[in-house]
Amino acid sequence: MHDWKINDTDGLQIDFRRLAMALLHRWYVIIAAVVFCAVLAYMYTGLFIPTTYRAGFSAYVNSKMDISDSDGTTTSELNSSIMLMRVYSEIIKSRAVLTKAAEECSVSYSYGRLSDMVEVATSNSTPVIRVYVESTDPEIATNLAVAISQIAPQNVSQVVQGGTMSVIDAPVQPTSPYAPNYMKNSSTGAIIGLVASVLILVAMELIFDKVTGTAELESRYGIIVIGRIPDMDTVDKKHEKYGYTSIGGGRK
Amino acid sequence: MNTPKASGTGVGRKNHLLTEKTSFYVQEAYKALRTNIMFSMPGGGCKCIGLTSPTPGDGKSTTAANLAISLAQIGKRVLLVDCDMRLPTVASKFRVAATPGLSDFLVGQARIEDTVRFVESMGIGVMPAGNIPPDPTSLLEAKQLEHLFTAFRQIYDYVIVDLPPVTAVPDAAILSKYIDGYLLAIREKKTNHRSVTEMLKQLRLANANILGFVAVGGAVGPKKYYHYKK
Repeated sequence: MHDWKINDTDGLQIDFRRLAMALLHRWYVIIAAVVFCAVLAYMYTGLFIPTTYRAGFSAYVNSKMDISDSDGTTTSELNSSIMLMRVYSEIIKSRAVLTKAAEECSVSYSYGRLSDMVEVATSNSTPVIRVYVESTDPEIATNLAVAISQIAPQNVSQVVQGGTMSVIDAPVQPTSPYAPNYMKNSSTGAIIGLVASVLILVAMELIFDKVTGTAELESRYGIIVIGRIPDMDTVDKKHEKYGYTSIGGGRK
Repeated sequence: MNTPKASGTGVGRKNHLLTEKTSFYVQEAYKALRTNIMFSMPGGGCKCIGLTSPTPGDGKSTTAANLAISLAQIGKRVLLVDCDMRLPTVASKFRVAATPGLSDFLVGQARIEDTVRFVESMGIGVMPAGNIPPDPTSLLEAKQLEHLFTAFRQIYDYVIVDLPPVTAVPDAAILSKYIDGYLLAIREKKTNHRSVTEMLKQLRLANANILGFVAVGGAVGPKKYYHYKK
């Protein structure tokens, strides 16, 4: 009697080598999925993501802030650049600054839209703020950035006692689009295609789990394959050659 | 034993039985299976071989029938018994009368001689399943079955038993006391491993002797077989 190998557990048995072979066997599916998703992402980027331009400026901000309580005495001297950066960021993106900048540029955007167009980047290690304005029109992006760079320092000094903001690099009109990034989006699509196809193939392999060949039977169960019968309907007869085919009567 | 003869007219290709027109590769495959079985079961006396599978449609009935034919080709006295009393196929494959058969004998309504037909064109004896009983499993536990197999062993060199799928009903495991060795038909790209595992568990509980797997339906072509050139 054979020494069978049977997995007695009720749980799912995963053979990683078999999964790897199954994936290798279907390499063309994975390649097709990668290419398809990359092309799809490229087309989506071109059709649905508008071209955006970005103009911006950098500014140096002072790093000390005095806060007085109701008694007129200084309660604490904040030397936290992080908090200061956040305060300046809030000031730059405030309704007062943005709406005034829009008026100067003669654009009738709502505050919400203006706020979405403006990005303030701060650093924990340096007292430098970078302000970016994005728009589908490079001229609007530039004009708004220029307006903000002129209006924001005034508001900063009004709100923060002793606070100053000095522009380091003034805004320059962009000559090339900032977004969309076709290469990045296509690569993302390709990666999604790769991951999705691999996951789907693995899931199919685990769920359907069909016998694929004789070697698999023998290695998995420790029982020999004593016979291998071709499919009678599809066996290739065209290349048949002379063979022993006698069919005779046997004995009762 | 004087068994009724059946010409077996029209038997052959449509039922996927071995004939002179069967593909060379298929014929050779069955010869190889036959040879391997004979080497796996050395010694004299009758050999009782049961064919089963995890699930229906895995090719066990066709394999059982063709194995019987292949053994008869080398002069062996072979009987093919259809023990699948739920979905019998042997009678239709060989175009013989479906009744009386095994079930009729077991309930005492037929004699052995009336249930076994000799198919002249194939050279084998065939015992159909007979009338489909309400409870085949209980019928297979009848004492008469022991007498039947004892009688067969005195007459035939090989008794090929077409069994129902193991995971569907327990009949295949119940007959393990009469079966010298089991062949397990597996259809590539169709049979799943869970059902194979379940089948082996049930056969292990029945202390069945497994001769091996028979892989059915694999692709075979000129690249994979060498052949004699005329």
